[in-house]
Amino acid sequence: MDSLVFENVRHRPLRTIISLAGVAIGVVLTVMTVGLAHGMLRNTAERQANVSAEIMFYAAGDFSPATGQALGLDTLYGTAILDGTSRVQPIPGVAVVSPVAQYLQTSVTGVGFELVEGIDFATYSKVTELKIVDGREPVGDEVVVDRRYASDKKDINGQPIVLGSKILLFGRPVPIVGIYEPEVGARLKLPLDTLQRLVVNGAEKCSLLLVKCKNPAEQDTVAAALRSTYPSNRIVMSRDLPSLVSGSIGSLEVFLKVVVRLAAVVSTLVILLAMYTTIIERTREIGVLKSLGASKLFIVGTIVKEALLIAVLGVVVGTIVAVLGKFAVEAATSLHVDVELTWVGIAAIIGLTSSVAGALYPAIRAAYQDPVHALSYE
Amino acid sequence: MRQTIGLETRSRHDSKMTPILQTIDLRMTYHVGKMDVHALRGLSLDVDRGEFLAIMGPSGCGKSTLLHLCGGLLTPTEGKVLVDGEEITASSDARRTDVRRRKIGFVFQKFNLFPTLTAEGNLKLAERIFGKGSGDPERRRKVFELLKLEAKMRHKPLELSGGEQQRVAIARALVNEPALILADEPTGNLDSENSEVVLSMLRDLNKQTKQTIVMITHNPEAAQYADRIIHMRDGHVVKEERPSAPPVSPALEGVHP
Repeated sequence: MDSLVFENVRHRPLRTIISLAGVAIGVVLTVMTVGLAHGMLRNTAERQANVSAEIMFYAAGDFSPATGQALGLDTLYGTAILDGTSRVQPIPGVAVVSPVAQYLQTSVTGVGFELVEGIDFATYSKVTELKIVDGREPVGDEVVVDRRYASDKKDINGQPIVLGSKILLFGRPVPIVGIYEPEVGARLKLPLDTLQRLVVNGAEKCSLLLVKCKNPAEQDTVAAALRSTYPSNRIVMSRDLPSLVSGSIGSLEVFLKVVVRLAAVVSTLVILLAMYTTIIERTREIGVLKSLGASKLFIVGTIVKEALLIAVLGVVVGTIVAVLGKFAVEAATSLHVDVELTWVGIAAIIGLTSSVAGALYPAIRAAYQDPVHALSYE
Repeated sequence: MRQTIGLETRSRHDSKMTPILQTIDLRMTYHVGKMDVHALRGLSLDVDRGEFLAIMGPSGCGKSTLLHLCGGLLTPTEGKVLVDGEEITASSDARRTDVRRRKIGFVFQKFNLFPTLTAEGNLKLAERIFGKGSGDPERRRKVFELLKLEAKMRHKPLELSGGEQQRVAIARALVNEPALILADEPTGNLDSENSEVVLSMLRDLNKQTKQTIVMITHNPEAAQYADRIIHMRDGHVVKEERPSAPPVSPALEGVHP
């Protein structure tokens, strides 16, 4: 290591820390934002893959499969679709209809949100792959969770979760009586009637109906019949979910690009400001370098190397913070953060190149300083 | 207009030898607002190899401008500067920088050491700029030994006295074996005791290694250490003298036997 560069970085610890933080923030911003977006998308896709129902039947209004909705759908629709009611005929080709009530509550830790689902276990297990692998199905004010929730979260006493542990749901301690697999829908699942009692005073309401066809090849016919019978309701085909996710990825990519560019701008500006201040502070030293015969390239190289050293430290610190942030976010919330090596690399390249870019102007300015003026600088 | 001092200098030494430093009809005019300030008005000067020259004069007489021109830090309005036979005035900035790196060592009044580096680190930096990579440890050791700084190699400038800092600055100027050392008021920031130590070391360097030194000073006593003194006024050389013998001070005893 060039001792002048190394000693300059050591000589001004506060300046170094601030500059380093600027680069680290850029890295954290990039890695965490991308990781969060990709982690949530991946998790959504994985969980949706375990739903074997071909059709999702929603109330009228905005469609948002990843978030909870008000329980705006009458569960009687389910009976109507499957068996027919006094108002409508049953839809031919439907094998099973399972009502799902979703409710988004503040996370137990107070950071972020948790999706809770009320399900009818008898029908839900027919439209998904869900199986209780440990314990039993919940009854009344009881809950089952998936394997990951059980391993990652703590009970209300801060202890690891085992069968019988209690967690806080709707502001009250609720025992965990079973573990299910695979991951599908919300991690926390209550009996449908319990959620209806807690959220809508026992009204027969749900958020969506999962509709499984007798013959998957006839799902379009079934969907067409549903659309014809319930034109105001929103009907989503499970097979379309990947393209819906892709659609959201399209706009997400734009958002991520903005974040990445913002990170680059932050790093560039912080380094530019730090190095600009540095060369003003070291004007006399630059004059001395020139008197020693240092070329313009040597002076530019010295300043750029100093910025690069700070940037390398910033990238390392930023990556460590991002990894710690991943664990903190996942421990405190139900969010998923994928720290991807590719994006750590991209963030590192952005941090390093923006630091060089930020250092270049001050460096060139220093290299072109009048040596006599620089030597007389006080 | 060529002044006679250089010719006399050549006759004093070897007339066939090229002066290490030549200035020919050197003129320098600064533009200060709407005024032209003539710092040098056609100054010609030869400095022979192995000579210790002191330049004296009142403030504003053009001493520092002359030194900066000789070091290639400034470009004259007119005239020429030749360092070791190479004309640097008509050269590009890169060329002047190259000549400065290869042939000139600077010593400043305010020492101008890098405060973050040790004494040895300051020398290593000069070596790296010179293009010696990690430098020559043996050469550094010899230079430190010559300047009685062996025990101070690992010290940073703020841990050294003014006299020691200036000796490190001289060591830095010497480490690349320059043809010429340009010293700008090297004792201007030192007390009399340290001044004598530094001046004595410069004189001994000159005598023992034939190192050419051009020194600017306000101090007539300091100038007495040189072989030749030129006096400047208003951008001209107005007088030349040769001191008989440098003063001997008890302050040097034990520091520089």
